[in-house]
Amino acid sequence: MQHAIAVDGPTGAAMTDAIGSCVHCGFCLPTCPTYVTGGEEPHSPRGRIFLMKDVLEGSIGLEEALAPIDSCLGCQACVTACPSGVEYGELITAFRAHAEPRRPLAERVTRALVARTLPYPRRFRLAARVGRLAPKVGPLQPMLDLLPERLPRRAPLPAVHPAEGERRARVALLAGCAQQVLEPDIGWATLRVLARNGVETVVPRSQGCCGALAMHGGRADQARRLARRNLAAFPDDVDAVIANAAGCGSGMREYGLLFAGEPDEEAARALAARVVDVSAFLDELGLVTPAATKPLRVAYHDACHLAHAQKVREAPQRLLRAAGHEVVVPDEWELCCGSAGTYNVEQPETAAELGRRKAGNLRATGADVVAAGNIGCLTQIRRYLEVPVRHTIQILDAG
Amino acid sequence: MQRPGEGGVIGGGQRLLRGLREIYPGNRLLTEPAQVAPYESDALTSFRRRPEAVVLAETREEVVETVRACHRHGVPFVARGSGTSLSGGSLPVEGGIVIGLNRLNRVLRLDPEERVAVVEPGVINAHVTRAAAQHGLFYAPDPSSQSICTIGGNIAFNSGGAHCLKHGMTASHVLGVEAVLPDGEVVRLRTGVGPDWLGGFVGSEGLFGIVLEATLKLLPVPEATHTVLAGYPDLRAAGDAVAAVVAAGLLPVAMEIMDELAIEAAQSSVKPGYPDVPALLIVELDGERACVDEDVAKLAEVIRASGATEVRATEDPAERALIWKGRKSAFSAVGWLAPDYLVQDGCVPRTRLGEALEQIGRLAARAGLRVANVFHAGDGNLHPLILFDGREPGAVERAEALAGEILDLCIALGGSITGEHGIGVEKRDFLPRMFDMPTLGAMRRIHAAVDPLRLANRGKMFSERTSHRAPGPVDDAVRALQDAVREHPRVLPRGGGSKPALSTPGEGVTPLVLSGLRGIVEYDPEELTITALAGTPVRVVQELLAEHGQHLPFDPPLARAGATLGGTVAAGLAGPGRHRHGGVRDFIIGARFVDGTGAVVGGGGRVVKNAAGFDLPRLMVGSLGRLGVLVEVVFKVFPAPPAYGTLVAEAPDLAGALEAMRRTAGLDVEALDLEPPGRLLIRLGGPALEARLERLRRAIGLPAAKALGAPEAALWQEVPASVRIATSPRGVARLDPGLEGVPRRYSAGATAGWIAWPDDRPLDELDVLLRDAGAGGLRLSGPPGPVLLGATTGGAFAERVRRGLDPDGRFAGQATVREAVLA
Repeated sequence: MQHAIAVDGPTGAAMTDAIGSCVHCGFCLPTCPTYVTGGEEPHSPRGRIFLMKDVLEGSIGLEEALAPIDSCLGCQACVTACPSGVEYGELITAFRAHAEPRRPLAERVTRALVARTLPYPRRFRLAARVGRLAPKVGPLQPMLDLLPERLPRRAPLPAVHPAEGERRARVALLAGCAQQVLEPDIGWATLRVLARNGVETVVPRSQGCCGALAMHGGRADQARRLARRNLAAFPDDVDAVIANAAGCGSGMREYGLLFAGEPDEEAARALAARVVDVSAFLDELGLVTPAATKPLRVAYHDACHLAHAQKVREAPQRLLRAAGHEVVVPDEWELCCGSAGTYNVEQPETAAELGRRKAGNLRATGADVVAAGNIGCLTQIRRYLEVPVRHTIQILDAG
Repeated sequence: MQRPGEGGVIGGGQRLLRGLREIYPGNRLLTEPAQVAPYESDALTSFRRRPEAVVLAETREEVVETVRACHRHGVPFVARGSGTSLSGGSLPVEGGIVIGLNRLNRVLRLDPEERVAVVEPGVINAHVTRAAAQHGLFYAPDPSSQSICTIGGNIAFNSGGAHCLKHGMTASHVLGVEAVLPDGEVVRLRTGVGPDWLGGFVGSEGLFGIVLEATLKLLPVPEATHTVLAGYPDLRAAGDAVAAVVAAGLLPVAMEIMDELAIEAAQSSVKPGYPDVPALLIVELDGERACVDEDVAKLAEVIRASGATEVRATEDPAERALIWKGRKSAFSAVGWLAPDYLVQDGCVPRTRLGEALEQIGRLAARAGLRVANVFHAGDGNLHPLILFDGREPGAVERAEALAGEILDLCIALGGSITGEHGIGVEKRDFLPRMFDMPTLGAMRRIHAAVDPLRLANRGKMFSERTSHRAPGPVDDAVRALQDAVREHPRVLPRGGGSKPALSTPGEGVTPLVLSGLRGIVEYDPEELTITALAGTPVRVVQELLAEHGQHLPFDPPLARAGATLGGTVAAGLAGPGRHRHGGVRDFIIGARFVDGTGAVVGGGGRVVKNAAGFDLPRLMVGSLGRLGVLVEVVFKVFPAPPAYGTLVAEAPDLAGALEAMRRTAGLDVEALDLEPPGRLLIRLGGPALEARLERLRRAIGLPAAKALGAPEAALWQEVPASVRIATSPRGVARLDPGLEGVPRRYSAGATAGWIAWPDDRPLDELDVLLRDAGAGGLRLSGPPGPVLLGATTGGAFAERVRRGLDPDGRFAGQATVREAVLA
């Protein structure tokens, strides 16, 4: 598509490349959660591309275009569907960064509050406790709605978890922030499954939030601050850097773009290249653990940031099958469940509609259990579905 | 922003907005720049127009109210589904509004017994099949954008797809529509007897109004589907293979060719695992297992002899899906190869494909541009993708010039400027290059009669340009015909006189005898089309086709009685073979006729896919001489089965027979007749007849006898009948008790029937019976008088189209019984 955008620098290029390669064919529409639920062209990938182009060209004011830009979940299903190779994910991230300082003040405050709470385990726990005591705390309420009745006990991960038997590999694990608060068992299950398959795991103490939420929310500076910690924290002498939350994994894999044109770019690209989802790593390595004693019918839910952002779809399913389970894929597998980072905080109504829709499709599979590779999805789907929902690694752990 | 016309239009726009606020809540009436900007384009982004407002309709009443409000205030409107038109078909009009239909996306009714789906216009094409799948049915038209394009848009543009070769375009799969005309009048159009108003509405690019509801035909999922990929050293070799497949008498469901660039694009995006070859041919066969097996063997032989360098075959659904995903993503996928592209949609006669491709290559080289080719080879439908970089100065202009040259090439080769994407806004200036002035004039008159204010999808299809195309040859006979139409106040055409009720002139009506207009104009068996003068006897055509193993699959009736092609088209008559492949409307691709002004009008063409202009040939089907006098007709033809076999099954009663009929789903049944009370005649064609008849007998589960050879042919001899009816299995169930004692036979899976209504019984009686059953009847013989009986459709739309083609009312019409009574 033709454009006349004059925004320089690497992020400018990311935006203009994406806009230039969009041919407006509409193949993205049926996979876009907001278009599927609302049926409005501005709330579709190609509609947003038009708007971002118009904003960047100066023919439409930013403030007018913000509502549809904000309604995007960033699920990147459109990237999977796009035949023309439009890197929509890079476009929206860059555009949000471009937009953030130009937003109205009140909005920036709310967004900052969420962005400065969710990724920090201690602040999140605190907010959760306060939220329980004093319900309806304004802008944070939808976020607190995500919390279970009781938070699980803290269960910090060890610095090193040795391999059982012969060591086949040594990896570093990104522990995840919200995940540690909401469901520390996922981290432990990851360590156990890796260990049983001969993998030694280090959990660098000095690591922090991956920065994905900030990055996707347009807070590039905060994202870089968080990411720099990780650039320093993760060692070079491991076979891989493992993520077990799809959103975090995909965030780290975007470090290259985040630091484009910055002094840390090379280090960022190097780390990004070594990040791999635990399922993809185990699939590549090959399971040596015995098959499950109680085979289950597992509905596999594709987390957007695994399927669309990281293109990991088959690996988790292969692992579950290798472990002796039957795997089924629900209708509309490509459609987001509505969790999408901070989305269920910012756009609770659309998020709820998507959650119900996803639950309906999962229920229809008649599965015993739902597997997903992202804490956000687990939390979201559990609100609408009575069938147990577990992280893929937890199902593998249960054996 | 530039606004059209006078200040009054702006005022009208503001008054309209006030009116729209009463119809729509705020969140469904979009007027802010950031809300309407995303509607500026469809899938043709070189055109952008910002609408004044976008409404998101959720009920048909809202659509009708909106159209009425637009009409009241003189504001143009554009209907939009998913906005995937490649010709700018849903480009907004400045100063006008967009009526969004994508929320009207309910499948209202799915009837597995009658095999129809009734849907709202915003239903996504693929969702029809999704809804029908649980019943083993599917919706055949499959445009590449089927995952998102909507039925309303498919109908407006008579969309095609990869599988048109066997199944035909959208028009062959729409059985009825409810539509709102540009002035807000609501009409119902459907297939049946009498003029094919529905066929004229489909493909009208939104100029005739908006579809509110559509009844779609569903087909049983074939028992077997076999897909072959064959690689060739160059496009010419692949094209020759297509010709060889046709010459071998095979009728694949799809035949596609992709060149190196198109393959590269598909591999970059979808990764369908195509072989790395300079030219790729995809051939798909489907049908009953035994037939597919035989065809697969035949195809393998043809491919082996065609010089293919690499051949792969599969019947695995997942692999097939990926092969088609690659093919269907090819347009957008060239986004990987170049920043910009133009897609063209020309059609050429199948036998001139190789020539067309070579010339396109030369033209591209001269323009210094790369062209990727991906096309529906079986239909001669080319999709050259012109790659360019719009940032280079002059590149857009060079690409557009090349696109124009390619369209001119298609016209010069006897083809069409659009096979399936439509004229839209993109090819408006090319329509006058394809059609001569009398034809363009007839289309414009129809347009003016249907929408005098040009409110519906203004600016599409027609431009201000006049045609410089030389009119087709007119000999003395045709000139005499023109004079006769001009000279006589009321005229009635007559061919072989085999349907006296339709061709016997009443008082003050001058007969136009057409039997002198006979002869085959063009027939090339490899082309699978035949052109003949309208007065040519059906029998002559059938005999000629039979010599080449081909036929008109709809079995034109009354051939022995001397029926002519023109009469068959004008009466819209089809015999038992209509069951499998459709009727006259599904095989006519071109027609020349003298309209009511005495002009020779030529619609359609000689290519099997053609979306240029209004579908005048279809309008002629069943027109009973009321819209024009046919001079020449063009049909597509199919390979004929080498032999037939019939199973005669006896059900205890009508209900049992109707029920048993459904058990033939998934088998390749050529014809399916029902003789009340309970005899079914089920005809198979092709290989392994004995075994297939036995299988059919078991599936039917009724006492049955098999017939082959001469006794079999005798079963399908025409029964004497004076009335042909159009109905449905349910209609037959309602109608038949009232016909006790009247000789009759139902045909084409009880969707048609032949009734020998006694001359001495009042026609009113039959009229009422048909009306009560929702069926229509056409009287072919018997005493003079009205010929259309029972339920008829068309309403205001029919009146307007008729006025457009016959402004002075020269074509003396036959009234329906009801009209005659009222008079």
